[in-house]
Amino acid sequence: MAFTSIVNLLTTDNELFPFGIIYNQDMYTGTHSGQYRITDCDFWYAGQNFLPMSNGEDKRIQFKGGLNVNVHCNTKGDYVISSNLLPSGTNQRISLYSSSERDLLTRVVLILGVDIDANKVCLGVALLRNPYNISEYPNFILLDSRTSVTSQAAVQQVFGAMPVEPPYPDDDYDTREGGGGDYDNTSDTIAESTLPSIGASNSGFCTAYVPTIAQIQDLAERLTDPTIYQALGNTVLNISDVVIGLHVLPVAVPKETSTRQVCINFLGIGIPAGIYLDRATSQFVEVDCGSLAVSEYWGNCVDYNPYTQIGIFLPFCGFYELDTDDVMGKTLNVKYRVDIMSGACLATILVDGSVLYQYTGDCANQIPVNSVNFDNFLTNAFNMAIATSTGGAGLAAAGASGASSLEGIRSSDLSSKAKQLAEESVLANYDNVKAQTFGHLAGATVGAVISSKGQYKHAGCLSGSPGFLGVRKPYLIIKRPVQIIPGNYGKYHGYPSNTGAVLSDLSGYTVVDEIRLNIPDATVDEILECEKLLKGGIVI
Amino acid sequence: MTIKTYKYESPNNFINKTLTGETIYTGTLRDESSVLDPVFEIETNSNLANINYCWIEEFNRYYYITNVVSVTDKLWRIYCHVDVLMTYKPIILAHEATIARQEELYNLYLNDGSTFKVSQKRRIQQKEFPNGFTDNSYVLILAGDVEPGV
Repeated sequence: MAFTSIVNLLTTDNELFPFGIIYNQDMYTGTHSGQYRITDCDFWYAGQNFLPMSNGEDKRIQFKGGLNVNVHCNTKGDYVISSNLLPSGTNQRISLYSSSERDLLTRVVLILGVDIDANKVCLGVALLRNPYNISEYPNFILLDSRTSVTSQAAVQQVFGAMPVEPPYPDDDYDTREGGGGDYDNTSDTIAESTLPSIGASNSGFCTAYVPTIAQIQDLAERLTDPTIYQALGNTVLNISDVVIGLHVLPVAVPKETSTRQVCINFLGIGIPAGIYLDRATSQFVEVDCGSLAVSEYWGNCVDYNPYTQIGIFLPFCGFYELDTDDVMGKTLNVKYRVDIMSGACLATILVDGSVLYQYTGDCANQIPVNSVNFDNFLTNAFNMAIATSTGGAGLAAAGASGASSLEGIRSSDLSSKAKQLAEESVLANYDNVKAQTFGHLAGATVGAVISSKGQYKHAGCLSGSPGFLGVRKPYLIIKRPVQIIPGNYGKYHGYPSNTGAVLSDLSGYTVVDEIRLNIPDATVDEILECEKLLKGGIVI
Repeated sequence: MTIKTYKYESPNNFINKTLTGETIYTGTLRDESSVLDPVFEIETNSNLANINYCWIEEFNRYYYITNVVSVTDKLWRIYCHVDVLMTYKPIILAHEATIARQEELYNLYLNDGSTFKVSQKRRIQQKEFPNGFTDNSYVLILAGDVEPGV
């Protein structure tokens, strides 16, 4: 019994809760000594001066639990109680000696107690007044002399079978967890937002025009006209302060015919340019690239991740991998929104009407208007060429699938020659055939083939000017495995089922996953053989 | 003891075998015999070299004949092993089970990547969206606004 268990039982504070052994022997003095053996002392060790008394003193010791022990100290001045230091070990012998005269009025009691404060178990020896009534000491057991006892036996005698404390007493494990989902498979349609109705042109700081090339040429000529210099009070015109941006966009920008001249605004001076340019009516333009349905080819697991891979090329953005599970069997719609001021574009992919993917790009082909402008133009072009674009993705190789698994084969325990023959013929051959079958063409399984494929990029960064040189329509690249399945595959292999059924309701080739066979007339070997055959595949 | 010998022509994993060529033999069991793997001798003028199946009435079981030994010209020693599928067919079929694979009851969307075989070549398809960027527009952004009031 663990020391901890004893301590846990005790609620005393600064008191000893006694339990122990009464050795029913007279205590002889002089040349006699009582010898009381405790057969195990592996955890007992003692305090000292358990209960000092004076000669002739009678003491009544009150213990927790209502036990009273009357202790007598004889007139000879014998200590009636002493405690011996018992080192941990085995089979320590306690010898009690008294120098006093023989006293037939005493009995010996070994008191085993626990000092909570000192966290010790103490062994005390007391002499009881005779006669005593054993029933008055319910926490003690009575032994004859020369009897061995273990401390554990003494404690068990008193306390009975002790409950064993579990190592993890706080059992917070619920016997049934999970399965409480709400089964909500509804889904919201994530619609596109409306185009902003306000923009940079509303600020008055700048105005976007949709000129023809002839009008641009006229403006360029006007801006470099010497009369401008005079009109500005002999101040050199910085074209960049007048022309904020000039670029080509691959979209039709909605415009309105202007009835007012364009104004060249510089240093607070507004100079009519003598040119009428159409104004853009909206900063944001939408382009709908249309819809495309992505359908299953095989109608099975091979049409989905990781076996079939789908990527999309988006003009002015790049090439991106799509999650096949997101788009298979659905209709994709690609829409662009273009900011005509910056040339930034947002490509949105809607799957069955819900926004699922969004990618950004740049569709402006910048036209430099001065040397500073051109330096920036070249820098941007170089940066695009060397950038690691998120659009420069390839279709990733699928993770390797698990290898073909063999059915667990158990060999029957056959002892006779007939059994040996059977093992060598019917069952073993069956097992060997099965093993060979599963091992064939392991490298041609769809999982093995897909995992052997590499990853390849289909595009780099295609923003800005390079985008104008590339493909201008979105398209999908779909990579599908080519299944090779013989027509009799179901007959010899079956197809994945994962259903529960009564076997008599089935027909054809059947591989049982799990079954609990209850065949009263069959031996255990027969039942095991049945189970093996059922899990190996039978024809019903 | 009554022994009926047959030829069966079904594969071993058929739970219901087609038995032909029944021949009935009767006799007395002289020696100890395993119920699952019995060995018995038949004295007959017939050629038993081609039998491969039997039924032993006392044992109430069907057996594969795993070996036939011609002891003498008329004495044949037959080694058998119990056919548990045929013997316990009714009770086996009455059992419920979870089914891993089946010829007619299946779900092809379960991942069967470890058994379906594919070619090393893949089918690559490109599908183009109907519309693209077909227009071009110049966009000129000037500081300020148009000439007011003109």
